[in-house]
Amino acid sequence: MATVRLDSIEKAYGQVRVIKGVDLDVADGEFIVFVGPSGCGKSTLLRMIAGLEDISGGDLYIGGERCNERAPKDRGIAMVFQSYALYPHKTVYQNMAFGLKLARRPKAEIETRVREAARILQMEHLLDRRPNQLSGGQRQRVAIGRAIVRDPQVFLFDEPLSNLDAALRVSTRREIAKLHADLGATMIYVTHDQVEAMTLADRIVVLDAGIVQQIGTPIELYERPQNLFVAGFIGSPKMNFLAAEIVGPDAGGLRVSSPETGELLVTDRDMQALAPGAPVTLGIRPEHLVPAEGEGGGVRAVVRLVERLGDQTLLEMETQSGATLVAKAPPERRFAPGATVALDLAAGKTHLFDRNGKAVARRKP
Amino acid sequence: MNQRTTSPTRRPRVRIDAAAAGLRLAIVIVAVVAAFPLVWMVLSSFKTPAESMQVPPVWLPATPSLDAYSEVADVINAGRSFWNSAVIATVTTAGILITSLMAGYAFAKYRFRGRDALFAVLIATMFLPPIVTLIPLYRLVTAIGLNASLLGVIVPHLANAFGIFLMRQFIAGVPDDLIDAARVDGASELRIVFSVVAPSVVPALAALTLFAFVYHWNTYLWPLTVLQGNSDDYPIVISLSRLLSYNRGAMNTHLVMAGATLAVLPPLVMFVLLQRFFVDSIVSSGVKG
Repeated sequence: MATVRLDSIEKAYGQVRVIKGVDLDVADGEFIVFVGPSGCGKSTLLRMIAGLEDISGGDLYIGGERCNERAPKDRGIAMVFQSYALYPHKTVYQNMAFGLKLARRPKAEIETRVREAARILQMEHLLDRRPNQLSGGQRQRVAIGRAIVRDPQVFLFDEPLSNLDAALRVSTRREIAKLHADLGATMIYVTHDQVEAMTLADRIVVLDAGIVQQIGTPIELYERPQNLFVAGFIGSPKMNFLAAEIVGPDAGGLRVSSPETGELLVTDRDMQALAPGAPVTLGIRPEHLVPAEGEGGGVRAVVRLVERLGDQTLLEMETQSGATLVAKAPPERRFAPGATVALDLAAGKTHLFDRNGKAVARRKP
Repeated sequence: MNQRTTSPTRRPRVRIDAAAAGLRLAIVIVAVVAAFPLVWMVLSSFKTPAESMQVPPVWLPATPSLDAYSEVADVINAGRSFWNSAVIATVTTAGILITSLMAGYAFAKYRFRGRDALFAVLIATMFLPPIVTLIPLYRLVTAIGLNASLLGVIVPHLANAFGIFLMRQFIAGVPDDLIDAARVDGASELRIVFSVVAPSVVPALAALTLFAFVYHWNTYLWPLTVLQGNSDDYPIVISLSRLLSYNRGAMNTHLVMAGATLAVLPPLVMFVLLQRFFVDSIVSSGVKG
């Protein structure tokens, strides 16, 4: 296993820069997930680590050695592709053995390693089949098996679950998590699915337009997003945003006001961060906006859409000022479109962003 | 209500059946017309010289005989001519397959400056009639000393614009991930072409094999030009022409037909073996184009 270091990594196609100076240190055995919207550069970054795309600027180190100019096979990596990329004319065994055969490993060693990988992935009975005789889930397991037999320093996954149906995605995701726990390997995983990112990652790298927006543990990203992009991208349904302004410092935080919420105290913020009157964006996660029991509740809105998910109910609502809010309600409560609902707001859990979209600094302990 | 809805649906089905029957009839007619010369050739090869020249023609020989076949062997060195044809067709086809695969891969999967312009020039060469390039090609072959030899017949045709075009179209459909996976596995570009890409485009390779083999088996003008009367190296198609002039051309139609029957056998066998791929490739090249 090995560390991976990205030092000011850049990628440009002619004049178009798609990766703009990425710095990242991946620890030995760490599971890192690159996440971001389509076109943010996450797959390009992974392919640059793999050696399938040239690096336009910066340095890439794998296991402490600079790898910018090395061929993919000499980087000690193995990659699992979204489309499985199994050789259609080869059997499962031959698919898994191909890399070792090219590396001129002894036949006995190839046999041992392929069978061991097949055992780990419980697919010994599939070794003689061809890819077109396998289900989607089995194909993906073969693709993972092909990576395992290479005994790489770093595993790279490029949206490996995107082609699977919902149920298979969950089970394969768990298999990958188990594989990471068993092998203790360094893994870099690209996805646009934040559930995969949140459940698999030791740390998540959020990318947008080729720039790292934030690097942190899943909970750090969820609870303390550093900017509006991360706040909006991590979490489903996404965070509600309301335009507000600073009223002034108060009791270890900042008092803010918005037409929808009235005045409220956002605690645990640097009291000197913003002057009174400064425009801010108030961020509220749907689970922190709950329909009030009885007549209470500081925010009033009209229900536009009700989505019953069984374990919870999502309400899409519109305030008098025209802002759209999404709230989570307990499943036993019933709501009808058109009804006016009062919402309890957990002010202590709200997020505050300045006019540039940056999170307002927290109070120093 | 039900009757109303079912009766209009029946009528078109009758029309479709009539159309399908008409189409089948047309196909049968075209097939008969196309097969007629071939059947006539085979039947005539079993006739006596008198029967083969008879007016009005006789369809079936009164006593089918193989005499014409043994006589062909007396007039021309059939074994040598077949060998020459086999060498020309096989080596040229193998060359075309290799160069088309490699160039098609480059055009389909590499990004390089001027790629599309170069491909357009290549396609343009497909529209040049072979007669236009005959003299320049002959002068080139002579200049490098390959005239009057089988090498001179073969070398200029080892690469073929149509083959490159066909391969490019098919290889473009091979997923990039498959090629990237092979690179990660440590395969060289040559290895990728022959171990990963080629097995993925087998129908196109089979079609190209058939196309190239039949074309170069039957080719007449270029070997005739470049061999400069070196009859030892004549392919069977040129040797057949000697049957026409043999015995001052009198009453030897049955001989020509016997020779021609022998000459069409190898391409015919190849077509029967590969026709499935040939049809597949023509159909799918239209879809993938």
